[in-house]
Amino acid sequence: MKIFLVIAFAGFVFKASAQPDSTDEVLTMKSVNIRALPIIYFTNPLNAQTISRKDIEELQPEDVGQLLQKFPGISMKSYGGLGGLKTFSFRSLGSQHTATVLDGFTVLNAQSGQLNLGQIQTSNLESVSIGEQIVQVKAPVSSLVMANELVLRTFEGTEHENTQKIRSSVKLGSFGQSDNYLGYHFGKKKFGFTVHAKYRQAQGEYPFSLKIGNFNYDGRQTNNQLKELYSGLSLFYRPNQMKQPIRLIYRNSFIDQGLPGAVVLYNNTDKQYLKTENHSVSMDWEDKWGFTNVRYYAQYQYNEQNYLDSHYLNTQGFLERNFYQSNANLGLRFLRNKFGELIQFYGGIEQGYSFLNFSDGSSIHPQRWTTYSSAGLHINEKKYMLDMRFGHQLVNEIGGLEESTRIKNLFSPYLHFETYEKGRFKWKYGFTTSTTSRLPSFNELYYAQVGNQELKPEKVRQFVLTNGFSIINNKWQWRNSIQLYFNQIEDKILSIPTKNLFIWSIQNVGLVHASGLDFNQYIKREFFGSWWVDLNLNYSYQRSINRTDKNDVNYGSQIAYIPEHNGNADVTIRTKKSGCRFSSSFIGERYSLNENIPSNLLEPFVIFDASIFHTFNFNYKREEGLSQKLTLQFQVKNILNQNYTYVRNFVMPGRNFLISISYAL
Amino acid sequence: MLCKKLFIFTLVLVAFSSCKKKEMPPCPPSMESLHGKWLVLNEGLFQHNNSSISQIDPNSGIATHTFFEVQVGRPLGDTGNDMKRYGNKIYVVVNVSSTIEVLDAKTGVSIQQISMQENGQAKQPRYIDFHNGKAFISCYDGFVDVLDTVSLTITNRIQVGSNPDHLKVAGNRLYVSNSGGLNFPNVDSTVSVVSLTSFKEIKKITVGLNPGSITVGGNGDIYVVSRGNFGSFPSRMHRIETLGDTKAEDYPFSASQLSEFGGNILIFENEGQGSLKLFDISTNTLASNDFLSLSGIVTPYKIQGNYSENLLFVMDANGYVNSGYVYIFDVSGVFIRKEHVGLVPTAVLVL
Repeated sequence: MKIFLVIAFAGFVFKASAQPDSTDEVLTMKSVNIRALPIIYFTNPLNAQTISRKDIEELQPEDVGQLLQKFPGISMKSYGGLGGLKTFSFRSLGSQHTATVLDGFTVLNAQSGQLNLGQIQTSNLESVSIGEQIVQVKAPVSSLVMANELVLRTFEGTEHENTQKIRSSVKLGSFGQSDNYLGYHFGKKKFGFTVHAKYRQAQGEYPFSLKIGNFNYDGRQTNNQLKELYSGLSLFYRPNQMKQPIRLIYRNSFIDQGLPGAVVLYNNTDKQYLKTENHSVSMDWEDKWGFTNVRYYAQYQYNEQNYLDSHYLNTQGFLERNFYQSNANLGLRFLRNKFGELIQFYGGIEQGYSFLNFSDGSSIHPQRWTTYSSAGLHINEKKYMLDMRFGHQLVNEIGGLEESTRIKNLFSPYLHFETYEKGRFKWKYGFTTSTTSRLPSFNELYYAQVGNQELKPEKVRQFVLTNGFSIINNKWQWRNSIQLYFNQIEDKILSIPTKNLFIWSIQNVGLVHASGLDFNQYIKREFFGSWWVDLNLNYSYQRSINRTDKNDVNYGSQIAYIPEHNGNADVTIRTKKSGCRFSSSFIGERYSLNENIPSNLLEPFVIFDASIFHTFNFNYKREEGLSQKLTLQFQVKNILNQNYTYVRNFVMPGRNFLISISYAL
Repeated sequence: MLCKKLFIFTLVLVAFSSCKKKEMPPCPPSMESLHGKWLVLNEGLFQHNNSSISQIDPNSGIATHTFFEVQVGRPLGDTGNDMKRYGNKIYVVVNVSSTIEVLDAKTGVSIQQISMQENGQAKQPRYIDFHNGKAFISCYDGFVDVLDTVSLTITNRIQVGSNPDHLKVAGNRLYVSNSGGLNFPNVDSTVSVVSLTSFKEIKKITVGLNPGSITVGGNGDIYVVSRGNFGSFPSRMHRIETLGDTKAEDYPFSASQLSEFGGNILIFENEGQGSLKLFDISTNTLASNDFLSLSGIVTPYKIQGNYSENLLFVMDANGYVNSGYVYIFDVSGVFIRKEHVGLVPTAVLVL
């Protein structure tokens, strides 16, 4: 607590803090891509943190999971390997509290309630943003009732200005990794389309040295092979230049992977596999009724998973499970301006439907109908902004052995206030408070013996104070932010053993108080006329404390897998065509179980990556404003060949290399 | 100036990464006699590789929880299931690591680690019992392995039912509970009878769903628990007459685990707060419905009677995810003391 206060105090006294000014990112997007009101436009940009395409290209992350670690406040759980399961918590809130919004559509997963970030690609990403209630003006209503938002914008989901646009890359790396991506856009005045495809494979084996006490257990992580194919088609039709285009986006993916699992001492015989198939169709269009903008949207997602344990010791000699999941939603958002843009009324309504079919012979086929509604008021004064909103979820759940119906009403009030300042020194202050709930997933409610149909939603109360500061001139950019937060999590949903060690059950247990500080500092400086240096520094302090039961042995203990300290630092030196980037991530000590004793401690680690890159520019149809860009990049990841784990016994790879060639038109 | 600052910053980061806590050198194994000491096997949690053995000196009350690591120089592994002494050796059955650790019973130093794998597949050993120089190890792959306790090699594999669990030698026969737990909800319901002359299964006796804990009463009969389906079929205790190897009786009370107790049987039931009953063999009835109050014990997990030493151990798993306790009573049920041990204590060895 002392450390917390000292750091918080220092942040304000030295005024070395300010939010990364994501308005800049938003403005960039506006000028480049959008003719009418953009889909990505944050109502409270002060709370949004964004990584743009340029940084994504330099970092060459394997997936969105690796990218998210660059944000302060993120605690990652990676189960190892390319395509391996990666989940995260943001300020101690599990990822089920975060709405993932992909090109303006909520990505739904009622089965587990969270996405595997290891299966979200980055070759096609234009930007990634995260924050609490950063709310895009036209985002689906279902995202307005969640505590946090992860906003992804892709090449194929964006209508581009140029007649033709190509983005492609070929990557070759350690562990037999190859990765090929191609995106092509063609557009005329009214009509456009984008096709994209990506194929990645890896043999995936790597040596490891796992330290347990004073003992080093050396081995080779096997059964880590991966084959995955992503593709899709997007169609754009713009009946009127002043309107957003009508978009129809189809995406699919086919993933076939081995699950390497945890390292088990003296026994590496486990063989488990997972096949995943995803299809999604999304469509939206906009209309204008006087001063009111209306966005209509609809989406259908289908997900199929096949799990195989080929060494399972039942009578058959293997275990196979299939899961079939459908999610659909249909909704509208409106935004009405009054007195120019001084006052905006906004809101919307959305109907969602989810269905899951287990193949384990059970007769449980859960369905969930959810009606989301929200109404809010946004005041844009010269010196301040006020945003207040009320959200509601009406949930109708049908499932269980008796096909019983359960109805839940969940309310989500929200208030955000921030100040603006103009001039060279831009100070900003903000305050946000909200109450949200996340529904139990179908797995938590119904899966085999562990499911518990009596689960209540997990509730979160958030309080965030933000201080931002930036100076921007021709040679300097200096942006700081510091955010202090307090989250209260009630009825936390946890899996715990109940009857015996082998019979676990999902229960509402616990009250967690999470308080902390996120600090970001970004400096960009020109020197020698054409050289630039970027420095990006993030630090997070988190105290996530169990406040469930004073008589419990773990009362007052830090929650498992939440480090008190983590952070990252990136330095990039670049000229017009070349550059190098040095990147580091630090994860502090944390516990693998809630009991804070030495035997549960996981060691801290620092990982360093470095890359060098050079870009060749070629003119191509200059009169049409087209140019070609070829970028060569070489990257070394985990330079110091550290042995480390995010999750106990799930070993991560040592030093590895990646060569990439990217072409863009 | 800026370059210089960046250079210093980079150096600081690199230096920081190379900073590691000073590691304590590993302790050398102790050659001190284990006579009079207690060893407690702690299961640990699945895929955590944190199974351990605590050593307790009952005279001084001193307990250490890294007994195996210190004496053997490496971790025990994942999910230790059973620990017994036979002759001058201690046998520790480690289920998920699929090993048998053989230790010197005098000092605890390692004699041999036996890998329990067959054709690249883990056999997942569960429990062990002994007879006439042989150790019998139930393996979840449907076999009982026969281990020669002199050469420490597997000499036979005896096929029994699905997912054999507990096992007990009675006379010249071995009785094995076939749980079928990995076929849930279609679990097994039989006990295999194995001849210790031919090392072959000679009979299967149907007792009830999901057979588990098994013991021999003072009358020579076999008592076995069927754990039911954790729903509509409750757990029950059954008696097998060893004379004809037939099921003689189903008892109308629930049971999770049995422990032979001076010729009678202690019955532990872990539903709710947990209870401990005493079954009188001579009258074939429950002598006490509440032999010992388990109130105050957070998660009663296992019991173990040691009548000849006037000891009764109740193991507290303390919520299964916290380090546990062993509660020690005398055989009349008088509380002696409790000892803090490792994660999920499961067996005690009095040496």
